[in-house]
Amino acid sequence: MARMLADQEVGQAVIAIAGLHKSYGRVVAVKHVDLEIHKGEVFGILGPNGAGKTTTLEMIEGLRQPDGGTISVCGIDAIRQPARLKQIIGVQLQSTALFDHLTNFELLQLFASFYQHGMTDGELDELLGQVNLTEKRNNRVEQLSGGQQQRLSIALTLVNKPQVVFLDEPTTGLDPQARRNLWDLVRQINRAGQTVVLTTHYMEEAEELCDRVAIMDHGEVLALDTPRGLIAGLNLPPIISGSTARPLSLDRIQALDGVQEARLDDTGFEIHTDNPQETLVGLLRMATELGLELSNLQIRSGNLEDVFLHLTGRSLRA
Amino acid sequence: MNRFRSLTIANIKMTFRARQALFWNLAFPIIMLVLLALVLGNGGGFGVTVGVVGDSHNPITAAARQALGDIKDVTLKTGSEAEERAALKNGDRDAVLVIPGQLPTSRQPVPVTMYYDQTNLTQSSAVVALVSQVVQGIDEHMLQQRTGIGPQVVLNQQGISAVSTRYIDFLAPGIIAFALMTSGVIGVSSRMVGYREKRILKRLRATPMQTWEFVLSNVISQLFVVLAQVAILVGVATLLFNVHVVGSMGTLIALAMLGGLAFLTIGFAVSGLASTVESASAIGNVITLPMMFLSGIYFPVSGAPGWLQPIINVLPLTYLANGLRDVMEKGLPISSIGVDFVVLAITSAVALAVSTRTFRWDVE
Repeated sequence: MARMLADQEVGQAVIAIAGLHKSYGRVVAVKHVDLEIHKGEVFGILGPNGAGKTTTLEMIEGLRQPDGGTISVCGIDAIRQPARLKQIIGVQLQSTALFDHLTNFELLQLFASFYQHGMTDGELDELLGQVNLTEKRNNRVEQLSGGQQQRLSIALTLVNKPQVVFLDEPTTGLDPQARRNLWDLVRQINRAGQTVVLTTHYMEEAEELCDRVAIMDHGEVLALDTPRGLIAGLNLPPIISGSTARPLSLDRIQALDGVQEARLDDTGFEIHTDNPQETLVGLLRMATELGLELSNLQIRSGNLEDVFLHLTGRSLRA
Repeated sequence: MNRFRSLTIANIKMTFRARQALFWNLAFPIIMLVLLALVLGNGGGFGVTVGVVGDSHNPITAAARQALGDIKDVTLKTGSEAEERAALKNGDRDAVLVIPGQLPTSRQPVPVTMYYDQTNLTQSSAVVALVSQVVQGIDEHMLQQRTGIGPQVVLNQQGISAVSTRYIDFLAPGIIAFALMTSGVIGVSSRMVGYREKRILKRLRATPMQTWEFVLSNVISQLFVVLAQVAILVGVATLLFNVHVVGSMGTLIALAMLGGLAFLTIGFAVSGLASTVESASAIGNVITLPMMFLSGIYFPVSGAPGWLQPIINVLPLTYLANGLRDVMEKGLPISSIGVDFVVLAITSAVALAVSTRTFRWDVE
């Protein structure tokens, strides 16, 4: 065992999971999952509700006992040494409320006191600044907005300067602005050298934030790669889309070079092509001839949504 | 240890900042005490019952009866010395005057003894003053009548501790016991279930905090609530209703702490059994309501039918309420209320055993 862990550290694996399995009665929540999470990366577990993301995360955090498999976090056996494990990780649970009747700073102090290497009061004040809550230092939790509560809850995961931070659906229920703020915060944490493991069912979150993503469904990891790698692996034709003041003619578009498939509605178009350069040139020439202005012109390859659709035959949002 | 200290301090802060819980723990029992004392108490007013023991042929006895009977607020009773002193002990007399049956033949003074209930200072000092005045009047009268040859009447005063008959003296310890029970059983269980429902327990579980640290810090903060309850309720009873704590304050606090511990462990046990705050308070009510009526909180249950007595005698609240009364009203020492301590200790142990089996960190 010790030999194996040493090898993993050489390979920069901060978390190594093998054959992880968990079922509740007849329902299998996590099916023999193997994962390796690297030091310093933002690792995402992407999947719909009920995919087994939270169960997997909570087993790594030492909160749930697996039925089988091994978990090593920074060389600590997460199943047998939960007390040692908890000293070096930071955990944000999905939808936790916090104690009422304590101020935000008192809450941070309380949580810091739980750890051998908890932050000092000075460091906690810095932390409050980092999550943009200095003004709310002496307010109670119930006086915070949703986004502020979520930032406080992330600050609570950092009070022991953890080596790995686990965030379970950190942006669920937040408005787009609050979500972007939180992404910035996660990037900051990661830049400071901490490994971040997060779950999400938002594909744009995984794409924006994660160095590598594991796509999970029905308790199994279906694919694991960088977002770019996952999309590239699909070999999806690039898509050109845009809109015009007047409808275009479908026949003329399909006659352009490289076009595989095209869809039109009153003002918009979406063209799948295997030769984006030729198609685009043809499209621009046609628009000029017709005296039409092309707006919102975009060329995109597939996204993680397409990857998920391809892997499961279902849409992620469904 | 730093961890445990911080957790305990945080718990105490939270407990005393939770206004709604404080209302139920402190204000509500005070309101109940005051209202019940006003509605059901004897309503104040000075009324004194004096027993006179003595041969009616004795002129002193006759004079005493007449003099006392003339006073509007005095109810006069007559009987043998044994009967009257027993009545005093039970709280049915405020004072008993014992006059010797035979007058001395010589000119020796006649010793008249007054026994009075010293438990209630306000009442007893008034009674002593009243009866002394009457006896002095008789002494002077005798002197006048026989111009110097009549017997001199000498009054000996002897205070005894009688059982109080005032409702407030019965009620106050009962309300303290009731307050400790509800804040323990219902207060603690709904707080714990609330923490669990909001996933706060699970979040704490994700830190290195130990279970014993969490439980013990909550026990300590609840014992602070117990102290506050005892201090405030005894204070209100003393200031507003002249309740006099006869026994030692130390014994009172020790008993209240143990009672508080017994009921807060029941609260922990309930929190393991209930899944929502609503069901916790429902289970809490099922446990506390029968005790509230059967343990003699508002009225004595010694007169309850025989078949009820075994039930009454297994309820922990019965022992807490009786123990508190024995200390506050009768001034019994800790050695005389050992049974109450033992029963409450056993209750704590049983409830703790149940809690360790039922306690859950997470909702599922």
